[in-house]
Parts: sequence; C-alpha cells; structure tokens
Amino acid sequence: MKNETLALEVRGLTKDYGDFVLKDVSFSLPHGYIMGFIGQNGAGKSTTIKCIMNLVHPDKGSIRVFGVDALRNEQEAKQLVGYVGEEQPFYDEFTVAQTARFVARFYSQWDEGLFKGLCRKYGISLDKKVKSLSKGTRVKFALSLALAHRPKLLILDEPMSGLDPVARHEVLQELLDVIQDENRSVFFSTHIVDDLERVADYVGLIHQGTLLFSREKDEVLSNWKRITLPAELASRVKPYAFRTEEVPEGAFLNNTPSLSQSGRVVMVVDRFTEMVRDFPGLAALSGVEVENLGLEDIMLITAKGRSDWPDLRPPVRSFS
Amino acid sequence: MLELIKKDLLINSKTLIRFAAFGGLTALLFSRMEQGVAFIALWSMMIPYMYLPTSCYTEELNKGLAFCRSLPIPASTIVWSKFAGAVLVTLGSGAYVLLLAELSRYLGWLELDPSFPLLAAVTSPWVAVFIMHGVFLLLFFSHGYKRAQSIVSMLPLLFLLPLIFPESAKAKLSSYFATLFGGRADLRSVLALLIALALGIEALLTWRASKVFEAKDVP
Repeated sequence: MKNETLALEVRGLTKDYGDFVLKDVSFSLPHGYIMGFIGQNGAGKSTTIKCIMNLVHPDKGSIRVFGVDALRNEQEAKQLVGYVGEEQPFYDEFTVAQTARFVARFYSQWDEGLFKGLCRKYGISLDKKVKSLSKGTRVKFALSLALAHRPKLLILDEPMSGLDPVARHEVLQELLDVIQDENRSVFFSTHIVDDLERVADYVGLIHQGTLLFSREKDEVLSNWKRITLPAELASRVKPYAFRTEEVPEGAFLNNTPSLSQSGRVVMVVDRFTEMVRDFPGLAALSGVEVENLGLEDIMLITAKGRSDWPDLRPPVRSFS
Repeated sequence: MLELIKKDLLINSKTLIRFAAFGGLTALLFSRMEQGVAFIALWSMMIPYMYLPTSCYTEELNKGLAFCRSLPIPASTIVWSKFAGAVLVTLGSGAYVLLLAELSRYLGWLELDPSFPLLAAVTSPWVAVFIMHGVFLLLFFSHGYKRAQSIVSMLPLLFLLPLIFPESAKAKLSSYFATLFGGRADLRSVLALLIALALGIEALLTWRASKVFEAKDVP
C-alpha cells in the first residue's frame, strides 16, 4: 500500500573533498516508490549514498529516513535500511552462514527463515566460504543480507558494477523482482539506465556534484525532447531549451538524409509540456520534428553540459 | 561489542592457534636453559603483540571496517571491541604461559628465581604490550594498518631506554617508588601499578582512536 510518508528526505547535502564538491543536494522519495539515481561515474552518486549511510560525513545538510534523523540517530535509521554497496566487503574467511549470524545480531527484525529462503532461491550454499563466491553470487548474497531484516528502504549503490554481462543479467532479474515490492521503497543508483527506466517511479540525475533534477520519471520523459526546427522558430523554443545545436548543411537527422537541413537547429528541451502549453501547435508545425529521449540520452546530454546559446556555441553535431 | 570480539577471535583463530602452538613448543624447550623463565614470559608478550596487528590487517584486507560501518554498529564500538579483544588475548596468553611454566616445572625443566616470582615474570611484559596496543589502535584507526605497523614495530626499542640510565638514576627511581609506597614498596605493587598505568594509557589512546574513527569517512 503506497502512502505519502517520505521514506527518504535529503536536504542541502554538501560535501567538499577539495577536488570534488557535492553541492546542496536535495530530494525526497515517498514510501513505496522506486527512485533511480543516475549520473556518470564520479558524478556524486556514491558520495550521496555514503552520506545517507553515514559512511561519509557531510559538511552540511540533513538526511531523514522515515522521519528519523540519519545523522544523529544513525543506528535507528540503519535498522530501517537495507544497503548493498558498490563493493561487497565481507570477511573472506567466514562462511555464508557465519557472516549471516554476525550480521543478524545487529538487526532487531532479522528473519532467519527469509534469509535462508533467499539463499536457496539464489543458489547460495550456506557452508561456502565467502571468498569462494563468484562476483555475481556475492552481490546476491549482499542482497539477501540486506533484505533479511525486512528493511522499509532498500539502498542500492551500483550493485552491478564490475559484473560480467551474464552475471549482470542474472543479478538484474533478481533485483527487478525485489525492488518492485510495493511495500518497500528503493533508492537505486546506477550509470546503466536501460533497465532502471522500466521500473523507476522517480529519477534523480546528478552531474558533477549537482543534482540537476529529481522528479517523477514520466514527468522527466515527457519534458525532455529533442526538437529539430527551422532556425526562425528557434527563438521561441530557446527559453525551454537545455541545449542547442546547429545542424550543418547536408547533415542527416535521425539517420535519415535530409535535403535541406541548412538553417535548421536541433534543440534539447527540458520543459516540453510547458512549451506546448505556451505555444500550442508549435510541435505540429511543418518542419518541426520532436523526438522522445530516454534516460540514457538525457544522461549523455547533461554530461556534455548546458550550452549558453546563442552566446556560447556548442560543438556542431556530426551526422554521417 | 561481544559479537565483534567473537568475530575477530574467530577470523584470527587459526593464526592465533598456530602462533600459540609454536610459542608453546619453543617456550617449553627453551625453559630448560638458565634464563628459561624469560623465554616462557616472552610469549606472554609475543602472542598479544602479534594478535592485534594481525586482526587489524585482516580488517583492512577484507575492508571490514566499511562493512561494519554499514551495519547499525556505532563507530566507537568497533574501536573498543579491538581494545577489549586485545586485552582478552593478553590475559589469555598470560594464563597460557603460566600453564606452560607449570608444565615445565612439573617436568623438572624450569627452575624459578625465588626473588622474581613467576607471575611477575609473566605479567611484566604487559606494560609494554598495553602501551604498544594503544599506540597501534590510534595509528590504525587514523592512518591505516601500514603506518601503524611501521611505527609500532619500532616501539620495542624504546623499552631498552632504561639501559642507558646510569646506576645512580636507577637507584633514585627505586627510592622514589619506595617513598611512594610508604617504604613498603614491593615488586608486586610496583608491577600492578605499572600495568594499571599502561592499561590506562591504552584506554586513553583507544578513546582518542574512537573519536578519530567516528569523524572519519569510510573510503
């Protein structure tokens, strides 16, 4: 049952490493929803998650997990959270069962039956030493540990990074099963967004330490469009544009040869619904092409940066 | 806390047992020598001296601190569990060494010096052990294993310092202790005081280590 209780509320999170700054990150995740946290490597995803887990101490800001101040009442907040990190640091000399026994002592809601059931489902032998587990199985083991205390919030920090495609596919299938449980909130960071796009309710995009947006996924997808239009219409669209690119003469658009591309402009808008409201019919005009963007496209576009068109001209897009 | 101590002992049990077995064997064999009691007593220092760095090395190798910090365990508990584990191993190795000495005496190999009781011989190295443990914990939790090990491995040299004092200074120190205990200074009281002092220093350094670790980011 979904309700509007906030599973996670981050306000003004700031962490200065000198060569990297996480700047004033704020977002919230209502209970029962899935938020995908995307961005390039080094964008600040892991730093944000490590701050939430209090593994990294923020310089400023507040973090609340189901209303519990995660920085002041760390232990209480961690009881509510299941965490799978980028790496799975376990004691290699321990067996799966020994590790679980160790972890179980620290959670009041530990469910041994659930843990064993998950191990059976994932094909993890309880007697095996952790060091003998494959990378994929290690992630599944981490997931079993994270789920066995029935957390209300599951935090996954790029759990599939470093896995080969087969292991990644296997783990992903298990993850998709787990994160679609509506009684649980999930905060999932990744730079591989294809599969996340299918399940996320909310999307946060972080770039160079700055959260560019954190919104409902459908709202993001309906607002981010790539529009190709005659140059004379460009000034109308400019206020809604995130990025503008000129199209060179004889260029191809969408892999389709265009006879007269000269004088046309490609713009990526991030407020399409607003633009359509202000200029109804603009998208339907002859010579105006609107292309849907996926989360990966949006991530790539933001990685290139926002252009200050027309004063700063972005690099000319090459089509061949 | 108990779970963390148990975890450390379990993970390092093989190393601990191997070391204790090797130590026990050599201690017994060397106990037949003239200064046999010193060889036996040496192991009450060697076992705990080896245990803490090994435990911290295992922690670093497995990124165990990051693992523990991701669980609902206070950072200070992680640090204090290392302290408590090290003290337990020190006491345990003392008991083990006493047993070895008794066995050696039973076999007729070990001859004791009546002026220096066995208990004093076994426990006196603890003064050095406790201080080294404290320094190690502070360095480990603030700078990591490598730095801690490189510095602490040089510390035993400091305990040779008294050798450079002239005899007159040593006599003055003895008389100071005699005054301190109202003229009733005996070896047992002085040793107990020194051990308590060393343990206090270790606790103080551990407290500092816990503060450093609490404020530290996990890489």
